[in-house]
Amino acid sequence: MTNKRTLLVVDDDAAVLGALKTKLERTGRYDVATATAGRAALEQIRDRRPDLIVCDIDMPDMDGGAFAAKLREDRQTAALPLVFLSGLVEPEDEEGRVGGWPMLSKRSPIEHLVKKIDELVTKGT
Amino acid sequence: VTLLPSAPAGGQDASFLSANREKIFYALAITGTVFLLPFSLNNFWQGRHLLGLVTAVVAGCFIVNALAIYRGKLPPVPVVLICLPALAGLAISMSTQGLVGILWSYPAMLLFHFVLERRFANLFNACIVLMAGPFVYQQFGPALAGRVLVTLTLTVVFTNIFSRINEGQQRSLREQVVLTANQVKLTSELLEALPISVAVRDTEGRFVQVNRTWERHFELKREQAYGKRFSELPGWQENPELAQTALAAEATDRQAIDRGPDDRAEPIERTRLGRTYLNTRRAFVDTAGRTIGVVSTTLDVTEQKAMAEQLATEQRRLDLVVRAARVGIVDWDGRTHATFYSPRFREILGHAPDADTSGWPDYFKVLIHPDDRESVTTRWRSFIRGKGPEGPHGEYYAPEQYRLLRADGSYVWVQVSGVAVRDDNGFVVRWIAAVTDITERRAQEQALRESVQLREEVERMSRHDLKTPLNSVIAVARLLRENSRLGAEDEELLSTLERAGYRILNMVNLSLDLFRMEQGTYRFSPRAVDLVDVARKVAADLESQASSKSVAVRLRQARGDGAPGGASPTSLLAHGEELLCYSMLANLLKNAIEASPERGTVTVTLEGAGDAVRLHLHNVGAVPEAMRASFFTKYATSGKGAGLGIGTYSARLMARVQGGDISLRTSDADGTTITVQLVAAAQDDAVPTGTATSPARAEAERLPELPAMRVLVVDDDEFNRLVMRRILPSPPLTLELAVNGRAALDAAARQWPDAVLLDLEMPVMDGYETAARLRAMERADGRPRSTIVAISSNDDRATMDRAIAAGCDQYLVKPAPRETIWQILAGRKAAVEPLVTSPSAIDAGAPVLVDPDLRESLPAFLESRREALDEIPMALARSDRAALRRLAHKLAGGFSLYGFAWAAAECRALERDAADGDAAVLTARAAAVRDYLQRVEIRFGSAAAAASAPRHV
Repeated sequence: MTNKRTLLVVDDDAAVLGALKTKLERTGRYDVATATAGRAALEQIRDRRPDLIVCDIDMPDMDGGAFAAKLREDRQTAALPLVFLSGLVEPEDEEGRVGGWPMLSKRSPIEHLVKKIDELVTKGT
Repeated sequence: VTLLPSAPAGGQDASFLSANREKIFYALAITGTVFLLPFSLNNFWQGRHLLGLVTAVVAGCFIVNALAIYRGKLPPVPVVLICLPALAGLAISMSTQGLVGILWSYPAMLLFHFVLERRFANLFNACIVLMAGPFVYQQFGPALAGRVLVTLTLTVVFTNIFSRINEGQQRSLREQVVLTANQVKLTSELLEALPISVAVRDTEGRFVQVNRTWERHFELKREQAYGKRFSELPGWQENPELAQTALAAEATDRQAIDRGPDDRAEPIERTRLGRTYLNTRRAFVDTAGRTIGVVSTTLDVTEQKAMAEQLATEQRRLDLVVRAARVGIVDWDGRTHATFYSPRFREILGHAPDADTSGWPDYFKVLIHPDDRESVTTRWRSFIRGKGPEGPHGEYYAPEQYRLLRADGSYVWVQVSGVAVRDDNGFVVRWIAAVTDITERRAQEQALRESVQLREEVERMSRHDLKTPLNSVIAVARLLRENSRLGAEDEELLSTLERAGYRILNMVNLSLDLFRMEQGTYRFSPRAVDLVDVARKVAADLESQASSKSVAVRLRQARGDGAPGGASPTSLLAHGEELLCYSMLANLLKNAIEASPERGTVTVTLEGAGDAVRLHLHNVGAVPEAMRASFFTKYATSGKGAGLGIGTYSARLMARVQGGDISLRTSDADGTTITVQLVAAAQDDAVPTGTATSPARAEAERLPELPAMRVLVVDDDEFNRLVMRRILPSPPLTLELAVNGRAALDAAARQWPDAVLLDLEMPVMDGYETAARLRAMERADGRPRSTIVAISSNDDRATMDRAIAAGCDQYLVKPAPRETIWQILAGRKAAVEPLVTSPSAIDAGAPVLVDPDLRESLPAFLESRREALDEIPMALARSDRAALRRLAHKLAGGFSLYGFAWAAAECRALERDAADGDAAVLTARAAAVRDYLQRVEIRFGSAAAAASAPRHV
């Protein structure tokens, strides 16, 4: 096994998941797990701890805020790094934080997103 | 509550003595008289005077005390004091008489114990023993002295023992008495405190005991009842109902006695004097087992019974209402999640009314139609959690329509409205929903909607169809007039023709505007409008109508103080639209002239009042009583033979669109005054340039100079092409004409145009496709960008958006004024008010740059986008704006990520307008995005590498 990092991408849009998974895995640096809903994501995290969670904000079953709160509630997962990726975020707001978490805009070019994720994973360890 | 007696405060002897004082002193007095006095006399006789005296004193004291007690006074001589002479007497007796004195010691010791407290008694007795010992020893020797001492001591010991035994018996007896007394008291207190009436009667039916509640129930004092039977109670014989009751009660008593004490007495309901009682009777048996009477207990249940009956009535009424409304009920418990389905609800779902619902599947997961499930569940959840638009304490759940699964597998349309019961934390503890079967209603609504749609479609088409030939009429008349050498008469006729054409066009446009005002989609573009000028024009135009009835129309202006002012008003600027003001005033004035009696006067008074301007129309006729309430409603007419009755209605509509209102004041005495109030013109309102903007005068405006350029005119209507050829001078322009899109593409291929004037509605190939293809050619061949101007008879937003999305730069509504076209061609677009604005500044024609890594997933992505786009019209049809917003949001996110910037911006605009946007516009937008996906050129490459690709737009 190589020393690939594990990412978990949570989004209710399968197209978004597909694009990010492809793009991130092509870098050769990541194993990307995906979940289409917050609840399913939480279950996955229990099985395998990712190095970074990339999470949408506007999801039907549990919005990003609720998801983050669930993570924080559990001592096992409270320290996991998380970044929000949402169409609600303007590219200009990427330096800011929401609920204490960093955020990325879906409107940013995908290469820019990969770069940002690289930075966050490095910082997280 | 302790029933034990408290310990006696003082020594028991004291209490014994005090309790039996009388008897003791009487006994002592008698003993003194009978024994001591003869003994005393004998001593005097024998010469023993001292002893006689002492004995007499003791007896005297006894007698004195007894007499005092007999008279009810305290004994004057303390017992201890009496005992002292007695002791002295004994001492004397011993010294003088020897053994005889000793013998007297024994009864004396007993007496002391009898009358004194134990410690005093023992003290005196010890004195006796101490006195007797030396005496006997001295006189009779040690042998007798020892025996005397022993017998005396034994006497003391025995008396102490007996005294103590007696004292113990006394105490336990006393405790017993106190205990019994307390129990009796407690029982009696309880009996009195009970809210139940209790009565004890003997075997003869006579009252022995009753409690306070009985007294209240019977309104009698217990003294009035004791020893009496029911029939003997005061006032009972006189009242027939009570006499009857008494007989029954006495009979019931006898039955209770017959049944014996072991009978399980079930309460029996009785009524007396309008109140209801619950009564129990039992035979009362004493400890020996003899029946000695009856215990009767009674509870007043009048209020409870009334309440229960009221509840039952309410319940019956509710049942009937629910049955009458044919409403099914779902009752959900927020804590246990147990759900109750009413019989009618089961019927709605095609089950028997008494079907067992315990095994029913989940309401949200199974019963709701799959297509409705997500939106309904989402909305309900957010309502329950207090996150919906109803807020955290929302009680009412606004009606919602969806489909539910029936027993036979089909679906039934229902309308559900509910109410939630929340606890203090906002948690829903109960949710009750009323469910109505709306299958039939929906079918009717659907039919109605279709007919309305059909009507609107017909109206839209007829407007469109009217406008096209009208354009030609106006334009041809104008061209003939300008270019031909005509006689003055023909010129005048053509001018009339042109004006008439414009009037029809205005009417058509106005009817469209009215429709928009009704729908709330009218775009108000206010300027400063001179109401005086408008009123003059209206009056002039209605001159012939007024003179046919000999009605005079007078125009005046009110002064600031409200008094009618001079006859020649100057100007009064309102914030509005001239055409609207004109139509409004014309409608109202025409009505006023019609309503005015012959040779009457209609007065129009103009008044400026601060931020508002007012216009009062007065005529002497009164509006009929029956008409007043509905004066401004649609289709209300007042005895008019012709006319649709939309005059006042549309006038009010127009006033309100302009931020004002119209009110009516009418009476037989004062006639009718209609007041129009409008907002006064603002400082920055554009001031009207001329007195009237007639088409002929607008013509006179200076036209810009045209550059030499190639212009392609695409229109299937030969009149339009003709008009265009006349409007566009060549030179300097080079004109190319095409009859449809295909011909246009051929012409463009031959010679690339600098500008294209493109009709949208054409056979063979319409304007949208033509524009898209021209753009594609432009890109493919690297041609210079041409200006494409869409020209259409349709003036709705959807058409416009679609044209822009197809690649057009400008959008003009027919008849396109020559000046505007010239200005566009002359490149003076900035001078023209922007006619349309594209929703985003991103070029819809630019190719999309997709990351090469995403090449494989692109087809699936595009397919999923198309599916989502197709859901938008469906969501709109359901009026599910929340679903629309979600769809648009999702689309925007995905498009951004893949690099479809224009589509993403469109979808963000959709998301923004999802809640309140016009459904037609939103549908058109979604369609435009879908079209865009079909035709957009996709290139693969790195967006970051392309420095020109802006990251932020």
